[in-house]
Amino acid sequence: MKNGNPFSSIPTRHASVAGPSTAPGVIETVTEKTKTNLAPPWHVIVRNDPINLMTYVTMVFQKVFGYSRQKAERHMMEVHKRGRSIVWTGGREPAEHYVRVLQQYHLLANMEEAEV
Amino acid sequence: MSLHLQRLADGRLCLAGVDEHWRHILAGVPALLAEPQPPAVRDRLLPDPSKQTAINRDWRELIAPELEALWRANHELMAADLGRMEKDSAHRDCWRVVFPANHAAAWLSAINQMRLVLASRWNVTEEDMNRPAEDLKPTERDHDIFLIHLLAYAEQLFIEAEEGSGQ
Repeated sequence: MKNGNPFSSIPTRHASVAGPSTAPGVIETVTEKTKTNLAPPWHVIVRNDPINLMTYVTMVFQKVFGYSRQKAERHMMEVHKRGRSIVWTGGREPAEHYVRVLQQYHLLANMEEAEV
Repeated sequence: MSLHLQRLADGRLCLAGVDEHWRHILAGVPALLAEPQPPAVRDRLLPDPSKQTAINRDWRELIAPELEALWRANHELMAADLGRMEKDSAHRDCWRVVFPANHAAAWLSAINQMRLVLASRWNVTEEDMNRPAEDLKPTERDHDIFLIHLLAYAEQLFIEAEEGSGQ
């Protein structure tokens, strides 16, 4: 099951260097922070509709995400009772892929940038 | 004899118990889906994927045509299978059609889409779907709501076939 965040943080780099302006015998510590590129994750969301059958939605979650029947039913019931369910969270490109596949199955699927 | 879907010994699927009524309904699926659809239907089938204008614009340009082509291929596959429907020698009042098991996904997609198209055309709500059959009136809208329920029965047969396929 693909459910990991492909984005990992780039660690802050610390460097201890002796610069030319440093007085003899004094070690100047320079902390160089590289620009972190933490793209926020995206949620793939499925919303309720009155037509798609519960068995159909469960089947789609199993096929698309490889979820167990139990997990697929849990998401399906969340869609049914709460009106929506976050069915997957991760990088933007896989999120777009999943929304495309879910729409291919006629589910009301969209993606939202997760709040971090 | 009721509508049913069975797997044959050679792995193909056989939809049998197709009486005149079901034959008419099933023939109507690819026929209706081939028609130009009103905006409400398109909005339901191809909703905006995000709140970001740029993503939605690219989606409409690139993804929506691809999805429509996939759906069209499913409808055509179902229509071709329906064209091979034959009288059931064991049940003279019924018809049957045999097709490869990998066509089941196309049938399922087309039947499900037909239900969504009908619902979108009439703005069918959860409340509508929960109305008992005896409360439905002889109107075109209620006729289509009844059809949505009937097609759910056929759809469930294909869901079970897909679940049994191990795909």
